[in-house]
Amino acid sequence: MKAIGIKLFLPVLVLLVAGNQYYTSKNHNLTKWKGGGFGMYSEMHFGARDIWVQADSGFYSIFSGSENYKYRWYANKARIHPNSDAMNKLADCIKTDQQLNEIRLQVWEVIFDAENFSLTRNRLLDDVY
Amino acid sequence: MFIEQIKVKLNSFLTKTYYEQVCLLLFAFLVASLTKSNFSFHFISVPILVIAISSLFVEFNLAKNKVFWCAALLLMLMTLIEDWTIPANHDYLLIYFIIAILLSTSKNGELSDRRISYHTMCLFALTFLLAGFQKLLSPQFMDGSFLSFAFHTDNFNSFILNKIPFLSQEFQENETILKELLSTDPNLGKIAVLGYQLKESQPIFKYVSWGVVGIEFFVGIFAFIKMKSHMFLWLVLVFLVAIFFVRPEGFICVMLILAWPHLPKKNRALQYVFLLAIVSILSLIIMNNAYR
Repeated sequence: MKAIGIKLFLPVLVLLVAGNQYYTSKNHNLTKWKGGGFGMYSEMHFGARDIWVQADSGFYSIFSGSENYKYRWYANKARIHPNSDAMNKLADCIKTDQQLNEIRLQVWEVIFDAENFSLTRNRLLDDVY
Repeated sequence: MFIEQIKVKLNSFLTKTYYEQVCLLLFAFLVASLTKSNFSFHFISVPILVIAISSLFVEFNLAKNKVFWCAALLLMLMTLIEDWTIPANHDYLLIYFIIAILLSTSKNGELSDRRISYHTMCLFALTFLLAGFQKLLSPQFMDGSFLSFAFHTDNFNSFILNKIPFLSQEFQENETILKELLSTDPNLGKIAVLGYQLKESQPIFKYVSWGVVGIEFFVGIFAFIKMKSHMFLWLVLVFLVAIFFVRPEGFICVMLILAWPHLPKKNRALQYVFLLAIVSILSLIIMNNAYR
């Protein structure tokens, strides 16, 4: 029994983690590059995802400008897995820092059309926090 | 004379059990890789690292030093517990590998060898199969657009193609086009077109994508059936080194170490070439010429 347990433990663990990662990426926008599903190089890197902020100061990409560098940790987490928890944390961080009551966040990803070499963007999420 | 001396030294490594060899190789990779990683600092990480390093002074034989492997595992698990979506897939692979080391410990050397052989075979095969499945289920990979995008925007060419001045300039221009698109308001619906285009290339990238998936499934399935085949191991070596030249990633080294316990003891040529590839990749990681 112990020998079977030793033999099965690792493959079952790998399959469970990969299954969970695939489910989350399929249904909740987790990038395939992260989370233990071995999906690297199967889709565009999460660096092609961008988060735009609409606040009193204007509409801007959170990854642009040195003044936004302080949000980078939460912003990176949010573009890897833009779930409500990550988006709320990013929104709270910006609102607290800029003393705002409300902001709007949009998550976009780049789409590449290989036939005519064109790049467009697709909105993954748009919400007010 | 000099080569003979190297051979004698190498033979002292090659005559150890597979389990001891794998422990040493993985230890070398952990040292090269983890010192390049960005661990988020928290109060538990430092004591764990202190324990891991101290354990080496007490028992340097890595095959016997469970404290070191447990500490290394805990250290990596800390980042997972903090947020499981942040660590890369190869960090997960390292965690599985350390678990395989711990599951293979035994006072009986032969049993340890058998266990490490089984666990590394499972990990090796599952990694390829899961990578194949992820690509097969990804429309943007199967229609060739991912590889086309990566090629045209210099994601894959850092080692070879962008050393050609003309191509380097063209790739840079495409990167600029991409950056300009990313800096404009996405709600405007702007469409950008790449400047440098390899005309009529979509079918080529599509067939290459299918080929990649086919090879990954072949390697994964064959590993389950006949991992110890000399021909298969040579092909695995060539395939992995070819991937490394396209994209110098440290996980290639981990895959080579996973294949290590399956190298036939008597085939020294294969062992030397594998060892050379492993050591070369480790050196490139340390010198920041390969990703960890």
